[in-house]
Amino acid sequence: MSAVMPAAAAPRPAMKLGAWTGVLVAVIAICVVVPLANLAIPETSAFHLSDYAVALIAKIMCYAICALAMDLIWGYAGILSLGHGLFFALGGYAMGMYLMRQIGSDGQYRSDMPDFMVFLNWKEFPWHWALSDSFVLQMALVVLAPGIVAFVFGWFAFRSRIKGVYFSIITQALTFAAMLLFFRNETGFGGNNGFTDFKRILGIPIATPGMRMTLFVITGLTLVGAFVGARWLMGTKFGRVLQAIRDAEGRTMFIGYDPVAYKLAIWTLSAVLCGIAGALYVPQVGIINPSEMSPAAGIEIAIWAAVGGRGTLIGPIVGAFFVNGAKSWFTQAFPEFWLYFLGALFIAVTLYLPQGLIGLWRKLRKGRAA
Amino acid sequence: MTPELMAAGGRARQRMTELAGPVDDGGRSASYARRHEPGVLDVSHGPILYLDDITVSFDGFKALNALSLTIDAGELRCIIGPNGAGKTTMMDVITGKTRPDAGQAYFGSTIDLLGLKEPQVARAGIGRKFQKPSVFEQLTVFENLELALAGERSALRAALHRLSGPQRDRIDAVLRQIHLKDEARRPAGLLSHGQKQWLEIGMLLMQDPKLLLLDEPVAGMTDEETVRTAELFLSLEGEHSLVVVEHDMSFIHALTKDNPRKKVTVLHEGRVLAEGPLAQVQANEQVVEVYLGR
Repeated sequence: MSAVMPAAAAPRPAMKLGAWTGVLVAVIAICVVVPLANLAIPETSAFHLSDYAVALIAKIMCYAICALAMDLIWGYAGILSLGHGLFFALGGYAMGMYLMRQIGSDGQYRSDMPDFMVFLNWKEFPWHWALSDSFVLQMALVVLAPGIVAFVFGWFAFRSRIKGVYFSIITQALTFAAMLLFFRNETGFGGNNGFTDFKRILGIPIATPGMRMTLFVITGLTLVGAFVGARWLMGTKFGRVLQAIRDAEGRTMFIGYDPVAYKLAIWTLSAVLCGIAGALYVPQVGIINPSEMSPAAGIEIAIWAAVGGRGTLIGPIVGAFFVNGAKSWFTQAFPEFWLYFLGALFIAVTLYLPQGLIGLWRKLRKGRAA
Repeated sequence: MTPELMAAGGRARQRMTELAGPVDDGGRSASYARRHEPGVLDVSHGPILYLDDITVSFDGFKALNALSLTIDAGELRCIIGPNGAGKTTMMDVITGKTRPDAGQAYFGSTIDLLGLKEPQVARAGIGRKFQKPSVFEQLTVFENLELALAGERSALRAALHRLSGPQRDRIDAVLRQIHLKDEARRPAGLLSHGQKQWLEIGMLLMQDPKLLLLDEPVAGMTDEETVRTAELFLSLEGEHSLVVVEHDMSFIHALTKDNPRKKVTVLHEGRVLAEGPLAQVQANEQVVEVYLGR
């Protein structure tokens, strides 16, 4: 075959050697370097990694999973969702419900019910808490709740051929409506306080160093796994059809592909990934409340992806680390100016770096090689 | 006979046996033991495309006004007409993009086009080239052809799809046919206008459609490219049916000169104004009037 075909016309490998090396380095850093630096190296040493730093990295890794999910739908299928905060929150709330049940009768009111339910004078659990006692079933909900909501919404939206800015606005409206719903006490999600004061997972206390590090490693491996999986999927024909839909949807239809099926598949996958990120976020940050569904939260996810570089998969992860790293520094140094900086960053990236930080990096590397 | 052909024949026989159960019309619809198979193209009556009494109106304006048109299997039909004559709307109706207010459209004698959506029309065997070249700019030329390759369209199986040897050969053959062999690795967005037109035609060929609808296929091409396009279309005639909408009379001339009796259709105000050999149509007074203004 190789005599007939040009070499590069062969299918592109999902990952080059360099990318695999990067993945290996990331896995070693997550599973070995960080645990050692945090747990084994004494606090007096310069190589010690503080609990604060570990918690911050864990949080940003959850955000990076969201940014990756955003890249699948925005970067590859060209569909900007401002509703990913909803899927993040759904996964987070599903995890939160389980964590609330794990508190048992150690709450303020010494009741078997979560404190906010005692406060509302509820005598039994509402129907949607039926599974919350079981870790396995509730973890299934982490996947199913965002998955089903995304599938049903996507089914109607994509079948009605809602596109572009209209789709973005509707996803934002949906998220806003959900936020208002979750704010209400009657819906059984703890109102504006949400869920907090978690004590344990699977009977093991959360606040111990070992448990924290376990959650950190799980989050890190999820991020790496999601990245490798996304790289593989986008390298297949499925990924190429998605890009075809992004670039010329009419042409894709007229060569016989039904865009609805492809969009729905990647949309649901993206939502599920975001839900998983939410579920990992909640036990580590210790709180989930409706503010995760605010319009600003959804827009921020899009900004991480845009700053890092859309349609590159690694870019949005870099973007999530860059923006959130900058945020944690800025909000300490100049708390009032963070939102201005974020806005300026977004405008600058849109105007001068359409390919984001990854695009800049590639350009510099090319320039040096030439 | 190859094993694939034998397998295909076996499947067809299986389907036929299933269809051959009791029929409520007493077998009248079957002619000479040949049964109509719903959803399978049947051109045994001659025409591959029937349009009957198609009317499309946009806010009272009749883009198509009781248009009736028949294209025979294997025919190359040129359609000309002034701007706004309804040429593009006609293609929209055939490909499922626009639903007509009235009329019927059949592909062969068994497939009702008006019940199908765009991807289904494409899968039934109708390929369409747009007026403006429409290719996947971020993908390479090779990948553009790969996606257009006839076959699997399911989203679930796309992730596990791999090109087979014969499929690679087919892509390679089309790359040569459209003179883009050396550009196979380049992103399609970097091609010249004429090359994009060729790539889109190549994508149509990959689909292996029975009927090709070509909307101004040589717009923006150089003279040499236009000549080569005419040659390509003439080589497709017979095995495929082609409908070419064009303004460029020299191109129409090139497509019809091999057979002076080849039909040309003139559309005007949403209906057929004249139909016949090019020389006869050009001599038609009404046609001259429409083109030169009254």
